[in-house]
Amino acid sequence: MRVSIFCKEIRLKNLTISLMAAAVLSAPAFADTVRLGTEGAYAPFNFVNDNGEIDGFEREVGDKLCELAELDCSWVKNDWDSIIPNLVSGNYDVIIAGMSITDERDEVIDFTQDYYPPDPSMYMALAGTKDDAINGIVAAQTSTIQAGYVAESGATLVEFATPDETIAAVKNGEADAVLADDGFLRKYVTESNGELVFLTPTVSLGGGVGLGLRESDTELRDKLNAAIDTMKKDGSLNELIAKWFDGKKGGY
Amino acid sequence: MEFCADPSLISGWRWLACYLTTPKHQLFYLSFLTVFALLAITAPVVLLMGFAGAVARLSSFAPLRWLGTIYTSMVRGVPDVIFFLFVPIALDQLVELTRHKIKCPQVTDAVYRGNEFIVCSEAKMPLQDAAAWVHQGWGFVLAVIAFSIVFGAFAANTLFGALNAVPEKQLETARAFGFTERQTFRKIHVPQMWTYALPGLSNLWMILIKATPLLFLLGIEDIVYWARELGGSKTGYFAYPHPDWRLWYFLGLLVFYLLLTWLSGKVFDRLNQRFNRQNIDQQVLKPIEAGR
Amino acid sequence: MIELRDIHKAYGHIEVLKGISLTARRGDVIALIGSSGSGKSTLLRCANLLEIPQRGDIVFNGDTVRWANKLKGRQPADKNQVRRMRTNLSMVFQQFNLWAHMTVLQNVTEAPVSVLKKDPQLAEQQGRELLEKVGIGDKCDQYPSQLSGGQQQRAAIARALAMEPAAMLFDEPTSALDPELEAEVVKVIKTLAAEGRTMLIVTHDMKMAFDVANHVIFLHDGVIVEQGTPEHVFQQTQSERLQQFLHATGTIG
Repeated sequence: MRVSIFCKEIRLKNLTISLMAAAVLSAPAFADTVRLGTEGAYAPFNFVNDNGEIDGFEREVGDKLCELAELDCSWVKNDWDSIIPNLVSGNYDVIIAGMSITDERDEVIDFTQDYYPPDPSMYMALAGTKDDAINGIVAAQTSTIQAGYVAESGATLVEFATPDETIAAVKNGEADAVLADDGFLRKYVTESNGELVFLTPTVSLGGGVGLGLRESDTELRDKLNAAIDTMKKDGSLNELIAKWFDGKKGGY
Repeated sequence: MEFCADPSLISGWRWLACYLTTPKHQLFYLSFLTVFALLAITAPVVLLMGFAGAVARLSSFAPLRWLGTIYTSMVRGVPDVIFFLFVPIALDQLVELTRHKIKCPQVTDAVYRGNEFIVCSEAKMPLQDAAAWVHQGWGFVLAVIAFSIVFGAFAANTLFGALNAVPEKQLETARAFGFTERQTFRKIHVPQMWTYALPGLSNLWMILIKATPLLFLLGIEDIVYWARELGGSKTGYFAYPHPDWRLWYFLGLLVFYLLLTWLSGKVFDRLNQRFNRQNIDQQVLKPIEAGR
Repeated sequence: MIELRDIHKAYGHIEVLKGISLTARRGDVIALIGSSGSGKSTLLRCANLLEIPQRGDIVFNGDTVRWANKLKGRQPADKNQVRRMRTNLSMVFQQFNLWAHMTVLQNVTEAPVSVLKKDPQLAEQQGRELLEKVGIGDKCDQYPSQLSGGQQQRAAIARALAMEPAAMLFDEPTSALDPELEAEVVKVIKTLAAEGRTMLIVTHDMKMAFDVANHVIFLHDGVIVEQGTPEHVFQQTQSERLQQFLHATGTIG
């Protein structure tokens, strides 16, 4: 983004119509297209609804942030596995995919402040599973903080490309339990008629969910941070969290 | 529309009928066209590239011969998947880099910055504000190119072998009647080559069909993507919740591919019969038939 | 009309032709006989440059083939000259060599249309007449693989005739045929001889050579051992080699 604006700036300077440039850059209607990359397979954060559209908590948050920051946004789906590489190589400008802020990722990309608070990660298993299953075979999605945690916890990690496959692995007995965000797992438990339960242990991982950006896009990061501030102050972010996560308190 | 107004209140066949006709399912059905489009565009391009490669390898001009040989042996020596992953990324960056150099000569910042690849917004391919289908279309074009390069090399091998399999006597006879080298090639060599190439090409076509799910690997929303997406278990966030149905969706794909390859086999059998009827020293053809 | 002068041809160290000269005038029918490996087929192939002799000259209607020295040895200098010669010297092969992907009629019309630029309709009409003449007018639309050997060879002769050549070269035209099929091809060749066509025939068939040729050349080990009229060669044999050969082939004795 910085580069694209930079580019225009210079061309306009070359044309020596800096007055007009100032007018354009300061005009409130000025909007550059920002492409938002999401996975589309992590309900209720983001998913593809029955109309084939991207839907969920992050769809609403993202649209609202773009409106506040006066950005013209479009949505792009991308596999979780390649979501960071494709941001870095410029396929889209923002990751908005329930991605927890971690030091490891922060070395490669930049994050905005969190728009979803740190959530305990939960172990979900079939009813009747003992708590020591967390040391058995545990499923997690590839390249997630949970996968990293399980690998170091001494349990046997089985990784899957999509969140849905981790659930399937527990249901068909391939894994003893799955470790994932509370917000993602809760619906599976409440709708399972007792078939699926949470185990007692929980793990605190990550610093909440933030937007991922290229490190060079500082200007865009500032704009989005400001917009998140606005949503936190006016309470609209808490409202959306409550709406999508069964009345959960955002606490912002 | 009334019929499916509230999915939570309907059940049985009506529920299924509504479920199978959601806009999301329509995207799934449309994605079958992606597979056909890939095949329809790639097949002729592959033949052309294969032909060019085979002719290059037969050329009496050494550099051209080396080029043909390098092309075919390079693709043969590298796993397909590596090529499928490498070509679109490399090509995409090459195009953007070129456009960047042409359209934004005033930008002096490096394009490769640390792990980032940054070109000015005018150089983006497609442009940032292009419609979603343009972005998808560009991805598809890159995929077609990757498929064409890889399968073109296989086709070049097949056609090279077929060109060599045409009996020298048939060509010598043409020369004895005063045909130029070009006329001999066009009127005798190439038409006769098809008979020998057909078994190999039919094989290649089957492999091409079976390779189409690689589109999924290239980030294109093909039938595999939608089958996996639709088949996964759906909670109450969706209008039509259901447990894990991936098995059924993939079973559908299985049937689809079986039908497609079976039908192709029929068509190639027909072609083979036609070519064999007008054929050559029958004893020359027999080993090839037996080897199939 | 065709003159071969002191033709030498070797493959590596094996000398196949060791200086052979022959002249064919208009209307001559020359039979080349000799055992396998005597070089008779090679000599015929040198006549229309399917083989390039290392030494010696080829003259066609006063036009001497010009040579150029290339990396792979002596080559004809002028490709057009070579093509001109070939269109005038139509070849009939031992294995017929009909183009497998074309019907019989297409085999006959292809070269006149592509090489001589003859009008396709005219070429087709003449093609049908020629096929009629060699007795397979009903096979026009069949593919070579559907024909018997004798029929294929007759089609090949029609293909050669369609070029309206100054001379025809026959390379063992009956050797690949069963005796009963051989007769139908010999009959066609006899008809052509009776029409006064110039022909060079390499053959194993002494009876045909005797009946058809006005000049017979006996080759052995790459040299001409004996030549003359058929009566002279077959009935007043001079050399021991030819006597042995004729004996071995059952022609005399």
